[in-house]
Amino acid sequence: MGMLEIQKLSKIYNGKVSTRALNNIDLTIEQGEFVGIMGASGSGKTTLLNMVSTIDTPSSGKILINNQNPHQMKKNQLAQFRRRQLGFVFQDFNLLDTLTIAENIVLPLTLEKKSLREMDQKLKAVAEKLGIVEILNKRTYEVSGGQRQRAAIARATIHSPVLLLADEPTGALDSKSSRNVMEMMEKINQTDGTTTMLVTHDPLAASYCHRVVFIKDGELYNEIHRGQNRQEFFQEIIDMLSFLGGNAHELSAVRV
Amino acid sequence: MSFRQFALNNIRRNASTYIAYFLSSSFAVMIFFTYLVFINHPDILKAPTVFYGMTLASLITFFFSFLFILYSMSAFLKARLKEFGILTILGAQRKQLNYLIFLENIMIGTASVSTGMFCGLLFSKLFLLFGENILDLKLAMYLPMQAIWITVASFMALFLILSFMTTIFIRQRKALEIVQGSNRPKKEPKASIWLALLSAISLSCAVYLMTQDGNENIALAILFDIIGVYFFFTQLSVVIIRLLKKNRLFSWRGLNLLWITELAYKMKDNARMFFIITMVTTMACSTAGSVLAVQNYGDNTYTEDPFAYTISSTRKQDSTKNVISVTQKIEQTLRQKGIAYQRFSSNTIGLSFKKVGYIRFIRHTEYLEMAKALSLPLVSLQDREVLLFNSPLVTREDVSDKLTHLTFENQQLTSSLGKIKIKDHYTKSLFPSEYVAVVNDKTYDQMVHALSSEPDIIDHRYHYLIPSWDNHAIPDTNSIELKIGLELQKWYDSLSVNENELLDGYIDSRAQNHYTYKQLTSIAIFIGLFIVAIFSIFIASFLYFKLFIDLQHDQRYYHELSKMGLSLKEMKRAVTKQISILFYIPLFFAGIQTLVGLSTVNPLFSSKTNTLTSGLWALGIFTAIQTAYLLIVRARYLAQLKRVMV
Repeated sequence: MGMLEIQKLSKIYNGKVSTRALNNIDLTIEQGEFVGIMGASGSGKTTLLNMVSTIDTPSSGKILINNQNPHQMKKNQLAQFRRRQLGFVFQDFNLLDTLTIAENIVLPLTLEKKSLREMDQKLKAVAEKLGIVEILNKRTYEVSGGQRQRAAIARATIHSPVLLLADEPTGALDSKSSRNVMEMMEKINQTDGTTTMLVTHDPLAASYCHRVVFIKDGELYNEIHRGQNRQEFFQEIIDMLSFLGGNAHELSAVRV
Repeated sequence: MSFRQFALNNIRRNASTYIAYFLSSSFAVMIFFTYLVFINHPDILKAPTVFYGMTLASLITFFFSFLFILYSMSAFLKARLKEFGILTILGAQRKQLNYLIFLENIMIGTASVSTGMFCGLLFSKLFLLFGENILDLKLAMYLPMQAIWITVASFMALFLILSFMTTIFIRQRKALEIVQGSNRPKKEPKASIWLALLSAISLSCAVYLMTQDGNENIALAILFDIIGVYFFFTQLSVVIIRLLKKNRLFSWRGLNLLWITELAYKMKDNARMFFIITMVTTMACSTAGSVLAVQNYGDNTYTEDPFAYTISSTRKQDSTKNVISVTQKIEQTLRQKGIAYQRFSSNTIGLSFKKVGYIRFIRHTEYLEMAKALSLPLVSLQDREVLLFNSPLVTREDVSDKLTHLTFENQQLTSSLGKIKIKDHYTKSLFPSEYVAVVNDKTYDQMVHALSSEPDIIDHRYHYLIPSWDNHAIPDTNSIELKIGLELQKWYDSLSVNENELLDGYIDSRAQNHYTYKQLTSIAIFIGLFIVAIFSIFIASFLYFKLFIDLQHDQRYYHELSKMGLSLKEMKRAVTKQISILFYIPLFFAGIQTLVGLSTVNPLFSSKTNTLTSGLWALGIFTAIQTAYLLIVRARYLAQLKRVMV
């Protein structure tokens, strides 16, 4: 049994013209695995992530996170589930600019009414791990994009979630910061064993994963596993993307 | 598409953005217009004494309409800043932008003035009916030409001025700022420690000065209070919130982090508005409180007077003249209607005393007669002993219970009688608005004797007690007591006393007195109520606006939090705390100011009328209204936020 089980998942958006965004997806992510989801724009990868993050409901099929089905929960229960079991990293950081970096990071813990000592302890640990100790008292608009994303990762992992979900975490960053952020995610995955699901169209970011799953037109298309060499894996991803959608440069800016 | 068409389409298709602005402007127009219809009513104009107050109220109304529209306008412009940015980038000239704003304003202005006046016409009928009820006047609907042209002229001028101000407002901004609109992260609210200290010191100074006596102190206290409250909202509140935030035991707990930080921004952003709201609420509550006190005083003059009629007799005997007897007329009238009465006569002298002031003395025998009928204490008195009745209607401060003796101001009396011992005192009104002292007949005669050099010191009065007329409740316009009172007054006024005739007294009818008093004060009350209503509506709308300006920001804020796992319930709690603080903090300050302010005018009223009580009533009503608004605003605001919760 995996940490995340997706069974026969479909999503249909009803409108004037019904769109089938996802069709019969089956996917299992094991405990401690680092999985990337890739696909062209409109392929359904963000829809998939939204279902897993429980902010959207599937039309049919089942999602089990840690053997629990969040879509059967009541709203308040679901909110609690999200903040205890899941961690989110977004493309646009989603830090609250009214709070300092430290306050942003401890926010999930304050909602849980944890003791001040525990919060301080965890804050210190996570900030040291991510190298953001010196910016803890700064405001979000006073630090760089890379630092902001690292702060967001800190917030997403401070409560040790069972599943870390990242939606294009490098989408708004330059290549140096991107590398840095991905290295941090890799580190967290390795040291804490946090199961991670990453949605991206950046091959560089995807190359940090153990396994990359490709989605095309709402269906699972293929998946490739990483060997020993990240550089090689990166090349494989590029090849796969160009095979998938025609030209590699259409899919992303190659940053090596 | 011409530029004019563009402007029109802009309004038509942006209806949702404009609708709030349009509605609030229409609303302001409607209130102002309704008020003008009322004060320009031909029947109201006949009473010129109240006109001054009315004009003042209409100026206040206009001033607040102005503020209100200015405020909605700036809110509305902020929402559209981005649009102006895009136009600037596309190469629109300043001139064109100004023209666009000008056209829009004129269009919206025209629309809202006509809508407001139309609704105002419908509403004013209701308002006139309401006025009829309160003022006891017949107010027929009429064609309010005067009101129409004043409204059109003043509001169109207002919209013109506002469109010029807008163009200035836009000009001060750089294109980049405009494009980014209100999306940039806001800087942390800053506050100066010194100004915060100044606020705290000013507030304490104000409190200290209030406890001291003297009029110049009160003026100073008000000045300190204004400074203190202003800097409280702009500086001290920010400092307090920052201290709260620094206390991590409190702030890093549950939802506190969320609402406290947001509150700091909202406080700082709206500090000036809060200040205005506080001052306005104070004004409104004080007005309402004084009005209630005035009304209460009027009612007391009726309920505290045990006698339905009091005749002050002139009693100049002149056998050559034909005497018209007032007492005879009253008795005749009462007998005709079959109403039982008791008549008492009193011979009293009014004397001044040290510390207590003016006291009316009555003989023991005369008192006993009244006391039996009025179930007052039957006490026997020694020489130079006095039974004192403090009328609750006396507006002086009551010190008699601290005294054991009365000391005459008059030297002659002091030398012949010395001090007079107070045997007992009661708070009860025998003759309204006067202290009454009962002395035994011997002492009374001594007093009269000591003063025998002065002429006409004895007042002769007749008092009519009518047991069937209960004075516990205010008589309505149909009560027999009031009808007879008015009838007698009419008779009295219609008397044309010629040389050969002599009136033997003046009628004082408590019901009729109360009626006249009520007519005089009811217009003041009406204006007072109107102003309070307007203020409370404006204040609620200000807050409503303020919340909805920030709505987009707040929606994003809570959407992000919701993704992280903030539940709906927690969001509701945080929002409720925030909105409640925004609504109640100004009210809290206004409450204190009102109560302090009203307590300083309390000595102007009688001891029976407590301005604090009426102030509390006014505050209570105001709080109730604000709470109702709060619940509405909160419900609407939460509905908007609920949409973004995942």
